[in-house]
Amino acid sequence: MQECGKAAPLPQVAKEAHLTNGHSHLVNGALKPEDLLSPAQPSDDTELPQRRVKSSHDKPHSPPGPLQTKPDPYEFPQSPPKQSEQSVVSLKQSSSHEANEKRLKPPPPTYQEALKATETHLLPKQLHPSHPVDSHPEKTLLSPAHRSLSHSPVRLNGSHHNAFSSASLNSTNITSKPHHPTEKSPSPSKSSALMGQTGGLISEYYSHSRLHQISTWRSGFSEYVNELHSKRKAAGGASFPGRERLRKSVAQRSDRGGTSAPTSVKSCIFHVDMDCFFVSVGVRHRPELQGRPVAVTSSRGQGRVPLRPGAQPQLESQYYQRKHALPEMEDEDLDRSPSEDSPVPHTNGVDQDTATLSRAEIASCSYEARQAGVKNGMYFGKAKQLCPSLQSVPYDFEAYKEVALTMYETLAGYTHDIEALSCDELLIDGSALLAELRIDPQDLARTIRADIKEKTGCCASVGMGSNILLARLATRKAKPDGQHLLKPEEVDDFIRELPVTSLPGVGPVMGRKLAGMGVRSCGDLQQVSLSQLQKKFGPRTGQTLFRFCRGLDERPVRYEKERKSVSAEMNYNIRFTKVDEAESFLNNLSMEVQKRLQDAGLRGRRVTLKVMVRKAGAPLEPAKYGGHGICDNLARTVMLAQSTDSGQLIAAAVIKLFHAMKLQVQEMRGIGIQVQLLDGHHSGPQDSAGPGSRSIKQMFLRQGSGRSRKIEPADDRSHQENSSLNVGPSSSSTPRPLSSPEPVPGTSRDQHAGGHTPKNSRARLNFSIEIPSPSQVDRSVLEALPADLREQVEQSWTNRDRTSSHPLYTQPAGTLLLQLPDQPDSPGIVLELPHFSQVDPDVFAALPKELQDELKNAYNRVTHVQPQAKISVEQKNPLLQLKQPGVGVGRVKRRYKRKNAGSPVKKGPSPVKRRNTTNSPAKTLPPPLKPREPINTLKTENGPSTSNPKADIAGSKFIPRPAPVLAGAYDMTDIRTLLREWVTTITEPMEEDILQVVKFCTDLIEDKDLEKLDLIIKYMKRLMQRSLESVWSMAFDFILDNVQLVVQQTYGSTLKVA
Amino acid sequence: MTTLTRQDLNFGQVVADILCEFLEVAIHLILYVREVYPSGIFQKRKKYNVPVQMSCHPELNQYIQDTLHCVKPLIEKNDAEKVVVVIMDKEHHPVERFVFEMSQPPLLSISSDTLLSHVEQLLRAFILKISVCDAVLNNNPPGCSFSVLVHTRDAATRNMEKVQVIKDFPWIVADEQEAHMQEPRLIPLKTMTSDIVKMQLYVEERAQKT
Repeated sequence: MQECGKAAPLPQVAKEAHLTNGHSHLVNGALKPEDLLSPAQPSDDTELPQRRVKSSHDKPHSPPGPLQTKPDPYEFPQSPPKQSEQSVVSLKQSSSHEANEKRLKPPPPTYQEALKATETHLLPKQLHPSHPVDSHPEKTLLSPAHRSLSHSPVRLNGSHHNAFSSASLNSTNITSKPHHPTEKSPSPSKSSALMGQTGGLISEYYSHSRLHQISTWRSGFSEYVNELHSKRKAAGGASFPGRERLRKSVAQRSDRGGTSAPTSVKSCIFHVDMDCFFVSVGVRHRPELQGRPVAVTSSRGQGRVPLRPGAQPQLESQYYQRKHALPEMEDEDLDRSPSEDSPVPHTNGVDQDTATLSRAEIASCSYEARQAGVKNGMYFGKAKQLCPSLQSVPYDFEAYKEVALTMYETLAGYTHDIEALSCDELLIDGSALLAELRIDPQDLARTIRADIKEKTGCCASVGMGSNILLARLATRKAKPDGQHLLKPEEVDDFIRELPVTSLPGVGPVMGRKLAGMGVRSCGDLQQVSLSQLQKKFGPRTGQTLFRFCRGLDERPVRYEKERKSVSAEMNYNIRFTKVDEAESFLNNLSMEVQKRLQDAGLRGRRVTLKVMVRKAGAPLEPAKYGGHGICDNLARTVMLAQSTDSGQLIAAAVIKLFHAMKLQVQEMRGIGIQVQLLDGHHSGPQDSAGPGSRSIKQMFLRQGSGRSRKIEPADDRSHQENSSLNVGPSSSSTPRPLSSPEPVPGTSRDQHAGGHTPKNSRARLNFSIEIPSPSQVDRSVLEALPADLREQVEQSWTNRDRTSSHPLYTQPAGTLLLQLPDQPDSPGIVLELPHFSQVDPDVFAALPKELQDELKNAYNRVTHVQPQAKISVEQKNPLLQLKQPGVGVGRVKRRYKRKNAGSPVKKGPSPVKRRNTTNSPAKTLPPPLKPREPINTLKTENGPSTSNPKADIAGSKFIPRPAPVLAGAYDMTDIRTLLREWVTTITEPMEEDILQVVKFCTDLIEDKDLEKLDLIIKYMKRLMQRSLESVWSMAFDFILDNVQLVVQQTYGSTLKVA
Repeated sequence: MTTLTRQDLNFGQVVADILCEFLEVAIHLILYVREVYPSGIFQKRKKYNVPVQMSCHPELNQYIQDTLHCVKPLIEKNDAEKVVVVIMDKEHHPVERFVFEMSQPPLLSISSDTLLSHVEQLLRAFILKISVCDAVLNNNPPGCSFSVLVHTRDAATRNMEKVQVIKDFPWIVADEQEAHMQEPRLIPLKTMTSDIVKMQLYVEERAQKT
C-alpha cells in the first residue's frame, strides 16, 4: 500500500487536460471480448463456467499484528461485529483454523483505535472537491424555492388599487373608460394620442385595467393560501376558529341526541362560488337595489354614445359573427365583404342600433337581469335594450378585495386545504375536515355558507362532489344561493344530461367542433372513443375530455400553484406613429414583466412577443374607443440563453423579435410579452453555470453568430438598426401585415443583394396559413387545435427559435418555409412544406409565376420522398398507443430539422432513417461523425456542459462497429441535445422513436456502459416528467420499464432511479 | 517506443499491476467513504493526482494487499470478470456491493506512453466518483463489515485451488447469503474504455438497508 504515498508511478502527462469520462470508445470495438459483449451471457451463479469465489474469509480475528508475517485471512482486522462467521466458512482448512484460534487475540484495533485517533483528518466533503455527480441537478430541481411564501398575504396584486378607485369615480367620460387618454396624452386630437409614450402608461394601464386587476387576484389568493400553510408549518399548528365552533356545535347536537350520522365520505371536494360576486358586493350596502336587475359596468349613461368617424361597427360585428359561425374561415380577408356573398342573419335585430350603443361590457349582472336575457360580457347598451330597468353599479375594487379577503379568511378558519381559483371562487378539500368533525358534507356546506353570508353580506353557493369536476358541476345546480351534493350514485345520470360546453375547458370553439361531430351532451361524448378524441383534440385534451364526460377527474386540490408563465399584455390604446414609440413601449412593457417576475420570484427563459395587427381591410378606427378592432394575432418566441427576470434582457429580446416581424407600427393594436419556462430564483447551479448546462442547443446555435446571449443593450440596438436599415426599406413602403396573402416576391433576393449572406441564408415567405391566435403559446389552447394546425404553429415556433439564434435573420418566420441555400453548387431548393392540400389555392394563385413554379417543383420532390417515408411508418408494428397516425412524419421531420439547424432537410421518419438520408446535396454541416474523443480533449466531469465544442451530429458515415449511437449521436452532449429537442419540440412521441431510445439504452447495457445509461435515464426523467404532456411521462415509464428489464436480466438488479 | 503485445510475457502483468494498484486505492477509499471503519484510521494521501484516503491500520492494509495479491494472477490471465467489494450489515447480509466489472481486449497492444497517462486519467475519474458516491447512496446501518468477492471466468477456480498464491490465504466459494442481495438497486458510477482494459464500476444497493 505504500505506493499510495509515493508519487504516482504513471507519467504525469497532460495534467491540464481534463478527464475524458470514459466515453472514448475504441473504433474497432476490439476491446470487448465476445463473451462480454454477448447479452445472453448469464451472470447466474449456477452456471458452471462462472463461479463466485471469495477471497479469504471476511472476518479475520485480529492477530498480534506485527508478529504476523504470513497473511492469514482469519487474523486480519475487520469491522467491529465479531460474531462467528463459521457458518459461512465452507472450505476452511483446519490447520489455519487452529492457527487462528491459537492466535486469537483481543478484538482488532479498528474502532477503538479509531476513536482515540487524534490524527487530524479532514472531513470527506472537504476532501472531495466538488465533482458534480449527476444526481445533483435533480436534487436542486427538487427544491424549488418558494419565494412567494415570504410574500405578504394581503398583497393582492402588484398594481395600485388606490390610483384606480379614484380614477374610476372621477370618470365622467361618456365612454366611461376609467382613464381617458386625453388625461395623460399631450396630443389629444390625433388618434395616436391614444398611445402615451411615457413609461408610466403601462403601469397605469395595469393599475386601471379591470380585467387585469381581477385576474391578478387569483395569484394573490394563492399566495395567501401559501402563506397560511407556511405559517402553519412555522407555528407547528394552526388555529381554526371556524372549525372549533363547528366542532362545538356538533358536540352539542350529539349531546342532544343529534341524528346526523357521520356519513363516511371518502373524498369530498367543496366548490365555493360567490353568487354574481361583483353585483352582490356592489349592492350589499344598497338594499334598494337588491332583487332588481343590476349590472356592474363602467357605463352610467343611457347606454348610447355617438358614433365616432372611422369606426364601422357593423363590419366588426359581422366579422365576429362569421368568425364564430365558421371558425375555419377565420383568415378570410376582409375585402370580400361578408354582406355581399353570404350575409349572416342577424339574430338580435339590433345591429343597426349597436352603432350608437355603449360598448362598455357588463362584468357581472344579477340573476334578475339574467332572467331578462342579459349576460355577462354583453355590451351595456345592448343589455339596456333588453332590460330597460337595468341599473348599473360602478366597479368598486376596494370592496371586492375586502369581501374576497374576508371570504378567504372565513374559509381559512375551517381548513387550509384551499385552492384559490379566483377572487370569488375556490376549492376546498373537505375530506380531512369531514372525517375529523364527523359531520355531513351538507351540514358543513350550510355552516360555511351561513358564515360567509354573515361576514361578507354576500351569498355563496357550494357544490360538492367526489372530485373537483363534480364539485364544480354541482355548483351549477346549487346556484343561486344554494348548495348541492352530487352523490356518487347520481353522477352518471347527472353528467349524461349535461351539455358538453358545461365541462371545464370546453369553450365555444371546442363546443362547435364537438357539435360538428354530433356531440352535444356528455352522454354523446361518452360514445366517442378515446382514440378518436385524442386524434381530434390532441392526446391530453382528448384524454381529459374522455375522463371528464364520465365524471372522472383526478386533479388534486392544490394549494400551491406553479405558475407556467408570466406575461403582460396591452391591447387597449395602442396607437404608435413611430418605431421609437413602439420600442420604448416594449421596453416599458418588459419592465412590467420584470416587475411581475420579480414579484413572483421567478425567472423565465422563453420569451414570446405577441402582437395584434390591424387586419388588412379592417376599419382604421375600431368601434370600441381605443380598442383593437379586428386584428391578426402574431407571435414570436425566442429562447434566452439563461433564465432571467431582467427587463432589459427581455426588452432586448422582444425588440429584436419585433424588428424581425417588420410590422407597420401604425397598424399595431396590441402588444403582449409572455415569459415561460419558469424556474425559481434558487434553481441553483444550472443558472449559474450559464448557457451551457441547460441550453446546449442554444449555445451551439449561438456559436455561429459568435455572440453571447447576454447582449449589451447598446450593442443590440446598433445591430437592430443595421438590420432594419438593410431589410426595412423593402417592405416598409407599403403596409404589409404579416399574414397578408400578397406575397413578397423578392425577399430572397433582397437578402442576397443586401449583403446579408450568412452561411445558411434563406428566405422565408409568409402565406395566409397563419398562426391562429396569440394564445397559441398556451399549451392547452394549442392542443385544442386540429393536429395539422398545431403542427404549423409548432413549426413556426421552431423556425422562430432558429431565427432568433441567428441575429442576422430579420426575415419573419412563417409557416411555409422555403430554404434557399446560397451555396452556388447546391443543386436546388430543399424545403419543408405543409401538405399540398393545406395550401390555400387562392394564395397559391396569387403568387408570382416564378414562385409558383418553385413551389410546384418542390411539391413534386416532396411527393417523391414522402411515400416511402409513410410506408415505413405504417409498416411499423405499433407497440404503443402513443402514436398519432399521420402526424408522425411531420413531427420527426421537424425535429430533425431542428437538430441540424443549419442544414436543409430531407424527410426521414425515424432518427436512424434520418441518418441515412442525411447526405443531402446542400448540406452545410459537414464533418463525419468523429470516431473517438481525442485523449486530451477538455472534458470535465459534467462534460457536456460548456467546454466541448459542438461535436458534429450530422455525420453521414458510419464507423464499422462503433459504440452505441442514438440517431448518430454518440457523445453525451449530442445525445442530450437530441433528447432535449425531441421532448421539447414534439407534443407526443412516436413509438418508433421511443423504441429507438430503448434500443439505444439496451445497447449501452450490452456495451457495459452503465454510467452513460444512468446519465441518459436521469436526463430523460428530468426532461420527460417535467414535460407538460402526460404522454411523455408515459413514454418515460415505458422506456424505463424496458431498460430495467434488460438490466435485470443482465445484472440481476434494477437501476436505482432517484 | 516499445510495443508490447499480449504475447509478451509481461503484458498481462502490466495490466494486472495497474488494476490491482487501482483496486487497492479504491477499496481503501470505499471503506472510508462508506464508513465501514471510523474515519480516524484513514490518512489523506495523494494518488492519481487526487486526494484519497488510505487506512493506516497495518492489519487492514495487509489484508487488502494480500487479497489483491491473490486477485492479481486472475487479472493477469483475464480470468477475473468482476471484483466485488461487499459491505455487509451485522447479520452478514450484503447492503452494498461495489462491483468492478472488467474485461481486457483479447488482442491489443500497448503502444504509446500517452496511453498510460490516459489510463491514469480514467482511473482518476473512478476515484473521484467513488469519493462522491455517498451522495447517491443511502447511509449504511452501523456495524458493517466488508469482504471481497471475485467472479471468475471459466474454470479459473479450479486452478486457484491448486495454486495458493499466499499460503494460508485460500479462496473459498462464496455462499449464497453473501452473494445474493435482496431487491438490489443498481447505481452506475463510472465506465472506462481504454486500450488495456474496459472497466465499469457500479454499486448494487439493497433497497431497504435497515
